[in-house]
Amino acid sequence: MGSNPAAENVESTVNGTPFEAVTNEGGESFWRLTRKEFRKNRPALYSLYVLVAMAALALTADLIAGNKPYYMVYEGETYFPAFRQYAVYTGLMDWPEELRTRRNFKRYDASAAVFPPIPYAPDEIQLEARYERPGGDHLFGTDRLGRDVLSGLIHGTRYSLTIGLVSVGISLLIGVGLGALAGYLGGWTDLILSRVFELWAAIPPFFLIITAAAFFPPSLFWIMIIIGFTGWVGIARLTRSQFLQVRAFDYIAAARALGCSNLRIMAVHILPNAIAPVLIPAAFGVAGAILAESGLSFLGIGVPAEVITWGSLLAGARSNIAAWWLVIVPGFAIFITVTLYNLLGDGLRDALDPRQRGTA
Amino acid sequence: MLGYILQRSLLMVPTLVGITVISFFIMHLAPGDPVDLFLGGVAEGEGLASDRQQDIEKTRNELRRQLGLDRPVHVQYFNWVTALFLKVESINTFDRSALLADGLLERLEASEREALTALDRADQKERFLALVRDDAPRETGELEQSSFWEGRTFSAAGNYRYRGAGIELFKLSDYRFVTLDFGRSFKDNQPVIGRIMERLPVTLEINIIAIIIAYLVGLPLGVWLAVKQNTLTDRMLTTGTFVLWSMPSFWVGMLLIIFLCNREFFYWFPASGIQSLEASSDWSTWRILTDHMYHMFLPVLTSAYISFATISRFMRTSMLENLRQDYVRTARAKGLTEKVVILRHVYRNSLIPIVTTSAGLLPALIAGSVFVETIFTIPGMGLLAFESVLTRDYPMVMSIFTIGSLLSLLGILVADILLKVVDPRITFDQLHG
Repeated sequence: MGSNPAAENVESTVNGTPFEAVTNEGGESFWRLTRKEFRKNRPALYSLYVLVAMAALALTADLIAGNKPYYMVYEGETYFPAFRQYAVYTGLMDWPEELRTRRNFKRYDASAAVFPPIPYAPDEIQLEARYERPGGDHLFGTDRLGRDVLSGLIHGTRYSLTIGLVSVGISLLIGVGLGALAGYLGGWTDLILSRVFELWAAIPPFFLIITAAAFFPPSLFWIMIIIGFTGWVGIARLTRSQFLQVRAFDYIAAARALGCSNLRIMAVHILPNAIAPVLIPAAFGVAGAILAESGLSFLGIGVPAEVITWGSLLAGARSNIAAWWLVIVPGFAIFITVTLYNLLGDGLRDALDPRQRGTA
Repeated sequence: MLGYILQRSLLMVPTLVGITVISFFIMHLAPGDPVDLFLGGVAEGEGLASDRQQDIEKTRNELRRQLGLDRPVHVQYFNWVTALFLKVESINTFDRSALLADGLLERLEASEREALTALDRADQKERFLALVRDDAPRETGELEQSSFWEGRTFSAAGNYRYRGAGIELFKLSDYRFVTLDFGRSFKDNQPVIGRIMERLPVTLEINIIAIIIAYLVGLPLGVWLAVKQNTLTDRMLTTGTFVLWSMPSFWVGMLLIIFLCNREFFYWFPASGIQSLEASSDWSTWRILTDHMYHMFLPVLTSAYISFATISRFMRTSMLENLRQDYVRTARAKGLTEKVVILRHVYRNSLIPIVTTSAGLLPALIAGSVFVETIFTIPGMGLLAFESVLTRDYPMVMSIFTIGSLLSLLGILVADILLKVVDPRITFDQLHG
């Protein structure tokens, strides 16, 4: 990035500065004002609280549902397997030698054990308890292999959250990156990149996702990549228009006069002032990604067979129409999560875009 | 206006080319290939003796060569595109005989052809030649001489190998020119375009009815909610449409099937298919129609509800925006009744953004038909797309992709043209010079 290809564009007048009108009001900062506006929107605020609670649930899923006891006395030794498994996941510790023989700790002949409230791991197969109706031992019933639905639901929070956030993260990286280049550099770069955006927007997105998901090996990694790669266009277009507006400000010319590199101007001077509206499609994007993943898993081409997500739980009802609980419970979880993210997106839009305030 | 449509249609060409390039490369760069599918389970070949494995590898390579999959991806792409636009095929004696047989078959009456189909292969040829001999002695003679009979390509129902793969422009004695050839399905060697044309009507039917219902219900509801703004009904129904809008279509489809097509709850509707199994041609038109509608009810409902919720929400917002405008105050001030103000002035202006949303509905519906059709087992494009994606039927996937994208692009174009129709203030000429 040598000279300043955008220098001649500084004079070009771009009407309507995005935040000027807001920042000068009563000396409050933009983010503070946005936060205040967002707090006024009760549904959005409560959605945020619930989503944070769900994230906490995802983190502590193994403590709420799992077959590793909190406390266990086995052959005279005391263990805390439920807590230790987190250390095992992160690779800090390993299971002690005598506990490596079984994955289901209920099979150990422990003299004392306290299990989590839902003592089933999501992938724990119990062939003697297939298709059990809700109630009794299994609050939300079991699936065709006798796996506990509630446990799958709680652990599924992890997948939906991870897939939603990582996919949107990928979309943000691509979208903000390309949008920033197009908006800041302008000229030929803008022309070519804008054509790419148009092209990508014209592809029917879900069909692209289905094709790619069916052609690439089933794995969480590929699902996130595929969903991320299909959802960046809206973000890129928005970033481009933001950069186009902000780069015309005087302080950018000042930064350039001080000898800042293009990269520094883009990342340090423009990005913080241009990024806020991008949060809106990002919130809706998380909802879309969760919906896409559960749709793919429902069709059976998403995650690998042994991974239990809300979509794959729902797919279980396709082979047995009598198992109505397999439809209601996971479907409701998908629906609620998608709704919460949509409400969050609505709230962000109302708070960030004063022109739309009060219309929707 | 005409110039604008022309310009836009021309601009669609590079976009479409870009889309096909992207989808082609995604398909071919993904690991694995459709050859394994032809060979079934043996393809893995693990634990087999090494000479057996070599055999399998040889077969796979031969298959790849015959399907053209051994060539570099860009060459394959260019082959695909050339076949699509204009393909020059040389006609050898074998082909000529097949074409001749086709022509003769067409002269036969339908009942005769049906009778032929029932016969064995050898008898079929015999009978066929006997049938056409009087009509066209010279051609029959030529046909008998040719090597055509040595192959096993004759089919009494129509020599399908030589028809339907594309549009034939014209034929010279040694060459013919074919265009719009989407190739043949890897699965059953049938022309792709024929399979798609079989499947397209039911998908279009569901989606068009769904769109019509969505507008018929969504528009009035949006208007009504805007008029009743901030009343209890408005709050409840607006929340209701928001909830509907957030419900995943595969969940709604499964809920409907499990509660309304299940003997355990209500067995009100059939769970699959587009007509009853016992349906026959003896039935009256009315009975066939009602039976079909009975089967279509739930699929249409599943396709329609999201569009309906979207439209009513947009309409409400748009109405509310317009109700705040000055011209509404003027209209009221000059003494117009509220009904005229709403229906004549506000309603018309509020329609404008709705037209733009309709462009987005079409691609969404095409994608949605994958779910609707797999859930309700409807033999439409969505199910075909899903099946062919699973079996890596490259020609089928490519043509569905191309046709689907073309439909989406056309939808956007139509929406833009409609926008101009409903809002005369919009002139494209200013924007595009």
